[in-house]
Amino acid sequence: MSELRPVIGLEVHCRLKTASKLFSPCPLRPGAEANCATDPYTWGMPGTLPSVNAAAVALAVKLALALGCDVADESGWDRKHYFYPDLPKGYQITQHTRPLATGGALEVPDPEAGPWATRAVALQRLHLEEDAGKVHAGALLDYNRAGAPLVEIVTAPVIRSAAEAARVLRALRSVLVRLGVSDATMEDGSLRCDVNVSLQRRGDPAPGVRCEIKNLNSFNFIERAVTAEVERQEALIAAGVPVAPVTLRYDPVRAAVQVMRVKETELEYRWLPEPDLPPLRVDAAAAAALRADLPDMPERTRMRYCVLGLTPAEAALLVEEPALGDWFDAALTSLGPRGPALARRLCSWITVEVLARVPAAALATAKVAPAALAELVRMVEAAEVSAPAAKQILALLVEEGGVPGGIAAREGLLLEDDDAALTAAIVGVLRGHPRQVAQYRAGKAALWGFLIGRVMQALRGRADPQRVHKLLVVALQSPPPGDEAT
Amino acid sequence: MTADRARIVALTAGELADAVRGGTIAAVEVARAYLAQIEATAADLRAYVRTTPDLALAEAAAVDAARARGEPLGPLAGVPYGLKDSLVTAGVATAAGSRILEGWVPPYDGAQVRRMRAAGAVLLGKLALDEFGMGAHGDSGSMWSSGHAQEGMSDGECPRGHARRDMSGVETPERTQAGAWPSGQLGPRNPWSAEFVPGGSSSGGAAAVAGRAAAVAVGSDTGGSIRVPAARCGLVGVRPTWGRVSRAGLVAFASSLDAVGPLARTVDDAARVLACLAGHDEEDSSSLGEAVPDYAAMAACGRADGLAGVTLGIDAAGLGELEPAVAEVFAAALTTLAGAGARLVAVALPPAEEALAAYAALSAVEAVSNLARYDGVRLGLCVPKDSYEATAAATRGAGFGLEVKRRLVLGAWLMRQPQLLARARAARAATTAGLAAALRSCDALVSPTCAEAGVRVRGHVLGDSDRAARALADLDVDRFTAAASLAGLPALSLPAGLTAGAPALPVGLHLVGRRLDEGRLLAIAAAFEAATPWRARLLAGPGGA
Repeated sequence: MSELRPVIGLEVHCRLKTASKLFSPCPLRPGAEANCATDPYTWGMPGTLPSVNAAAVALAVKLALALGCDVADESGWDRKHYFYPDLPKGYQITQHTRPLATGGALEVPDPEAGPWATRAVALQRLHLEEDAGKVHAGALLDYNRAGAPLVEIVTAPVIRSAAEAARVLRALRSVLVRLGVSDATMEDGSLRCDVNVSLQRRGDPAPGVRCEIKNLNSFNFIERAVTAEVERQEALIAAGVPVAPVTLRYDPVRAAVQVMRVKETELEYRWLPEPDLPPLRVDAAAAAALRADLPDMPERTRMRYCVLGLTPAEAALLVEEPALGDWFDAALTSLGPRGPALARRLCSWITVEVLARVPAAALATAKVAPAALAELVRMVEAAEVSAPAAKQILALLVEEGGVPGGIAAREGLLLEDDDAALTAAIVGVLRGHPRQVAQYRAGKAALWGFLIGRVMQALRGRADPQRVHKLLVVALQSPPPGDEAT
Repeated sequence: MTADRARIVALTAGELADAVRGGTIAAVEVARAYLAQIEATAADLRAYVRTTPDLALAEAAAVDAARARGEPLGPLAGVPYGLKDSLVTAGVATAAGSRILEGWVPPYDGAQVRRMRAAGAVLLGKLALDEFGMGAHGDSGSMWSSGHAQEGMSDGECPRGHARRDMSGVETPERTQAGAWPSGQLGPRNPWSAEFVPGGSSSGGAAAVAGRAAAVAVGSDTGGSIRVPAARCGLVGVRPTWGRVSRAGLVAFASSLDAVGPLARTVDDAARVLACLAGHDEEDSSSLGEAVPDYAAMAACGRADGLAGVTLGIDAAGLGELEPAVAEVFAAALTTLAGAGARLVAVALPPAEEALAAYAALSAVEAVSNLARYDGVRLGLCVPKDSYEATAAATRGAGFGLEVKRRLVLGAWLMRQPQLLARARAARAATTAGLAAALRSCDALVSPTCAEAGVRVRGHVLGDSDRAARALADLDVDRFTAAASLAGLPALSLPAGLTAGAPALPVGLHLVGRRLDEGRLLAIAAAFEAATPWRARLLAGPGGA
């Protein structure tokens, strides 16, 4: 079997974050009661006509530009026909013949080639289309989703493994969220993925027979489904059975793929140019404005984190959850020139301590501000507070907001940083224990622990132990306290 | 007919609007006269599938109230009109002549009724048509009720989304007649002779306006559905440039060919209605943004100035198969045109057979797409079965009439024949290019609207074999009209004259113009109308001689 290699392509559908549907002013209301987010167009009522939502086009163009696609000055609309109760008009308006954009590539981490390596996964096309409704259990039809704006992004068949397929989708999700064009959440269906899988014999330029796994709705399922499909095709080939082009679904319970139907041929969709819509024109000036306004792409951000000294795993975490990355960047910025030096420590405080208290999705509205955490990390680093005290302060920041310095002062958690004051405390302790001091000086080194313990007790923990250590060494090497008076 | 009613229904829309605006007649009085005329002629004309007397009186009262308050009145103030039942109306059942839309009450108004209302026009009711506009005679459908139904208006809230509920919460009268279809040939009749069809598919509109049961009507034209009935009933019917009038609210048959326009007794009335209907509409992305000229003023210029300097193109090759009665009227019309100053030049148009085949193919293919939504799930008729596929099949089987099914089968088959589809598209492009080339050497193309003087009413419901045999003959009715549809160009039909025999039947003169040149077509038509010796006879209407 080793001479067979998987060739994988993704078709990703992603719901655009617009206020209304693609072809009518009907508001999109996720979570609304069934059939309450509808209008006559959504129902496919006779006499209704589509008119294109400019906001959806702008989001799709922004995405296409960010992915380096060629955006067509003029693209077209087509009708794709099939009978299914969730399709109100009996056809879907999509862009089959002349898509909005072609080409482009998505940078995807390539851990097999190195911890920071990436690979450009070529894209074939990106186009707009309207969503269908939903058939709920019990055959309840819900058209709330019907007409919602989708972009479909099709990769070239260049993905080499199940794990890479999942990485491609993760990278794409980061881009979608980074750009703010979609919620891109698999759970609510705003990100959906179909996977095409074929097996190609090494050295044979002929492609294998392609099978499509429909509607995968989690990153884990993608990896498992592709693995299962590769195994299914390998077994067929090994048994000498030709692979038939079929459409499959993944059954997560059995961790297996099931054949849904033999694939439709192109003619069965009975494509027709959409007569109700003029061609979609993208204004060059508007595109240029969108291009100028593009944020950094996640891959570029990942490289920036690499330079800051974060580990690949840390960088991946921040990049895959742009809300987290944004928060980190804001904290970093507030540190000014000290930022780079504190980046790693800041990252671990965010990913370990902050995330333990605030979910990533709630960060943007949390009471604790990025600058407050940055300041707290700086205080730890400058030995103004101890690490346990800092955790206590963080808990209060999460609860009530504010600035860490104020909380530390109020709660008495600031470390004593005046050497004279520390020395005075040390001298006080040494005077109180003349016998132990004399024994230590006489060579009983084990008493060091006793003495430093008494000093820390006297300081009630509000001192940096290392600093106390240094000052105590100095004090013990000085003339005995008794001599001082003479 | 009372003298008052006779006097009112004899007025043109222009005269009515002027009288209402001038205060010499109340809009309500006009509406009452027309409602009485509709009742009196219902059995003979069978023009309406549904009348809206309460709505008509309410709209008329609103016009009178606005006048009483001194507010400016619209250009069609108080003009009673009918809408082809393929144009949706909020709260008034709309079925497009099909059983498959049985019981559907649209929750929204189409652009046509909105614009007519804004102009002050008064809706009398919905007019009969061939099912989904597919027919040349007004006699094909899956639903004929015996006489029209009356519909009470309710100002209740429109149901959002789910449309199966009736607007007023009561059974609509036509639903109680559910057992009535198919009940034989009860389509509209030609007011000039009950033995002849009024032409289709805007059959009810033509019958109503010619029979004085509406001052004007709004219809739709895919291959000739305004122009053919206008010709058969002695009316002016305008098919505007594709996109000139919004299609929002038109139950689609073949979107790239469908156009909405007026049927009227005079060129001036047609111009006035077209001016109200035309213009960009946000709800129709394919509607054109160009400014709407003052069509009535352009028509008036034509009437005053005649046809000096106007060049008209005639394709002699297309005239070979005219019925002698039509040829005679057409020849006389050409003489009239030349006498009014027009220069007649010979042009060569692409063969009509090519255009007709392309029209038949492409309209059927688009119909398959547009009619795919009728699956019994969301609105209209539902014949429940134990699966979605079976329900959709049973619903469509019971809901569509034979002619619609014939075209859907043809269209569905064609969609799997890419070479034939490509040929049809190429023929359309050739026809478009051919018309454009011919219109470079003339201002308008002129021909008869139909080759035959009239089509007799069929005595029986067509069976499958009859239907197949008649399909080609029916298609041929559009031989002079289909080309302009394919090219998206403006065209109109106006009365050329009457045949000599008994019964005397109107013959239509067909004009095709350049893109957005409706104004010039109306000017030419007005000049001809003023010059023709038939004008008085035609204006008097059927039985007016």
